[in-house]
Amino acid sequence: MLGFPQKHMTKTFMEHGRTLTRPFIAATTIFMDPVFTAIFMGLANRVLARYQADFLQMEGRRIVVEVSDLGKSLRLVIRRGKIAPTRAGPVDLRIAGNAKDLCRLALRLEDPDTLFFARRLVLEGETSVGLQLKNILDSVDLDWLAPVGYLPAPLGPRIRQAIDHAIRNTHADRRLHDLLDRALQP
Amino acid sequence: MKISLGPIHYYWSKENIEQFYRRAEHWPVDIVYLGETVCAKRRALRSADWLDIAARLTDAGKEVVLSTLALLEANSDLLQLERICANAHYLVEANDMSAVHLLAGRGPFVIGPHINCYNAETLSLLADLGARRWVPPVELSATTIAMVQNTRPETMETEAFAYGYLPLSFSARCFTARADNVGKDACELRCINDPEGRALFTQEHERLFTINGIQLQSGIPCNLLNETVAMSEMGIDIVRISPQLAATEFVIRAFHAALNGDGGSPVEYDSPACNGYWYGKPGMQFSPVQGD
Amino acid sequence: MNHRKPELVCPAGGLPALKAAVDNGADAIYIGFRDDTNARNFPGLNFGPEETARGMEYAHRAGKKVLLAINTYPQAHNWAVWTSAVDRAAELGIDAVIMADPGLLRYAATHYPDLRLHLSVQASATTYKALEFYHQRFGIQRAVLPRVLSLQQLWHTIANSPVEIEVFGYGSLCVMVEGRCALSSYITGRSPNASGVCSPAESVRWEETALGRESRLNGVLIDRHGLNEAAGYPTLCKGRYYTDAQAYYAIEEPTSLNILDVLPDLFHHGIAAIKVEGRQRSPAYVASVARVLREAIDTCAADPARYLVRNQWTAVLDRLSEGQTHTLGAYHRPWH
Repeated sequence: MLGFPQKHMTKTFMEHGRTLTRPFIAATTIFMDPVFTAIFMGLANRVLARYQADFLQMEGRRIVVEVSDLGKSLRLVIRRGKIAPTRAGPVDLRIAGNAKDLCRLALRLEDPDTLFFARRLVLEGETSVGLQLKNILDSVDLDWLAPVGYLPAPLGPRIRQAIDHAIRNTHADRRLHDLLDRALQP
Repeated sequence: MKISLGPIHYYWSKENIEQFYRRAEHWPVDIVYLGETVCAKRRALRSADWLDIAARLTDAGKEVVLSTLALLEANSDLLQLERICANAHYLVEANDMSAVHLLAGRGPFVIGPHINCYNAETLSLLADLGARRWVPPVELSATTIAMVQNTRPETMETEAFAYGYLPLSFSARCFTARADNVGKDACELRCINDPEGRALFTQEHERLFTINGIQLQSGIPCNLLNETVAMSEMGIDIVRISPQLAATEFVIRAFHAALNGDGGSPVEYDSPACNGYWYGKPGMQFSPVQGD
Repeated sequence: MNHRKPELVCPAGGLPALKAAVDNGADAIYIGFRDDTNARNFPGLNFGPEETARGMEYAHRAGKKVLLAINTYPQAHNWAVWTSAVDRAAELGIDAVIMADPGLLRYAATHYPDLRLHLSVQASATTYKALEFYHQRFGIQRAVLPRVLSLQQLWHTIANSPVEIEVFGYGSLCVMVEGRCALSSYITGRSPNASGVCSPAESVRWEETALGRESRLNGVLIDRHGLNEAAGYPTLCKGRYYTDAQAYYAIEEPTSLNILDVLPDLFHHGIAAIKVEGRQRSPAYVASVARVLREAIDTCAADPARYLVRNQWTAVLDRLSEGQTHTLGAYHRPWH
């Protein structure tokens, strides 16, 4: 286990902070609220349930996510194949970045390696845990059809097909992505 | 077990090369590999000069094998390879699949350490094409080699890279020229000034690799002198010593002594060496003989 | 000479990246199973059986191909894992399998004569004679060439090759001839050939120190980056070392390959496919690169004589690149 300083901030990140816009502060502040964090964890663990084998490999790892420009941090632990909030203490992996970049990462609008090359993302400690988390996040497939996937025949497959066609014809996936991308540009 | 002298990895002057092999005529080695395996631009010796050396070594009772280039790029490299593969007198060590293609079905040949032969199936395929000896890739562990040994074709001999700076990688780029801040096309064969390569250090002064033209080697030599008993038990037929300008004779005599019964107790090394690959660990590490 | 438009082959480390590639103009997507049978064996990455089937369905419905990399070298103790990967690929109806190991190629050619075989860059075939070998022995139909040939050497190889040629067009650059590099296992014990990883994550440590960001691989100091200096992957070949006094990028700078400048020449000489590196990258990366290369290839196909690289393409690609910069690599003679 590595004992990282509780609040580790560099000048660079403070400078980034000045360009910060309202939505990111709002998003991050809400996210850091204990109640919302708990709700989010619940949702995340449902989505991530199918990756339990991966999470079991990371059992017991303690992770701190530092939002450098807000001076806030989120402490997580992987326990029984799930993510849970935890209290201060030694950590195995430290992830740090500014609110905007972390939000864009979480929404998969940004390529983490790109941020890392540009020195806007910090990853310290057990690198393989960070890489595994990143890869899991990247592989979560937001399947629009999942909720109607189990409708019985004869209507089920038809409804599924109709929705599928509609999404493909309107490029809804890509439009939503582009919309979010524009909305969250600094 | 026999002892072989691998091909010279570095660029030496004509005099150095000729003197080296003159002395080698009297060393207790059974097999000598000749020729340039690293950079096609190195031509201190003409083909005829190599063949003279080969003839003298043959007269001295050595088996001569002609080694081929590991990384072929230009068409002229291919033409040179075709000439070597077409020779009627000597066995050829293939270090690239172009060479395997040219040698297939023409008679026996050797699979060099730069051919990716990682398993028994590939070895049996190469045996079907005429290979009669293989040098495993340097990163294979003793355990892996032993498993291949169990099913190797009957006529196949195994030769292990036992001493020397490990050839780890090749590039289109020349790292010696780069170190001197000149282009490869303007290299003027400056690697001739580094007859044992050039050491590359980390910013914490650890010797990491050795630069040898387009090749990178290990920073410290691999030394399997203390493993000869295990090698013999595994049915390894030949140990390969990779030439250095100095001290090669000393190394050969040490192996010769070990193979002839004087090697009962492990040798204490006074300079850093590695044997990690042999034990399935990072290649740079050193482990004492197991079972001690 | 063949002037057909080259295929755009994009990477996918997961289903979202595969969809991003399909949606943004890839003609084919290459993937790997979740084990060490492929050269991007990273934790949490790659495709399980269900994802593979879903990915193939998604790509095929859009008229795109899915290629599967089984391009590492099996050893005696794990041989069956590799043959079972080939079996699964054949059962799934994968459009082509990308392989390197001669023994495994023989297995695939013998058991599944209808399975299309591509020669992986990991096979390290750099001459048309080597390609003849794989073509005659195993019936390969395409080969990916290592990033070591100059353009003239590449044209000569294409002109004499018995099979289609695919080259890398964009992405992180291997400065060593692929398939014959043991630098990673020398330091960490794991290499691309044997384990499907270079400089594996479990051996990497980054530390933000007073001297800058330190990258270590199994304890060995690879590099130290000043506060605002652009960085790259912590691979051995992109570290700063010294021979005399000053530490420098002794092997290669952190940079990415980008062949947009020579696209018309590649068309002219009949390149069959252009490959994007990066199965380890995110869906956002795949989407951006696919979009740029799709536009560039289509622009070039429409009128090769008037093709010019647009600044915007370069800007998008450089931002995603290691060290935030690009090179023509071995294609450009002064690089050597």
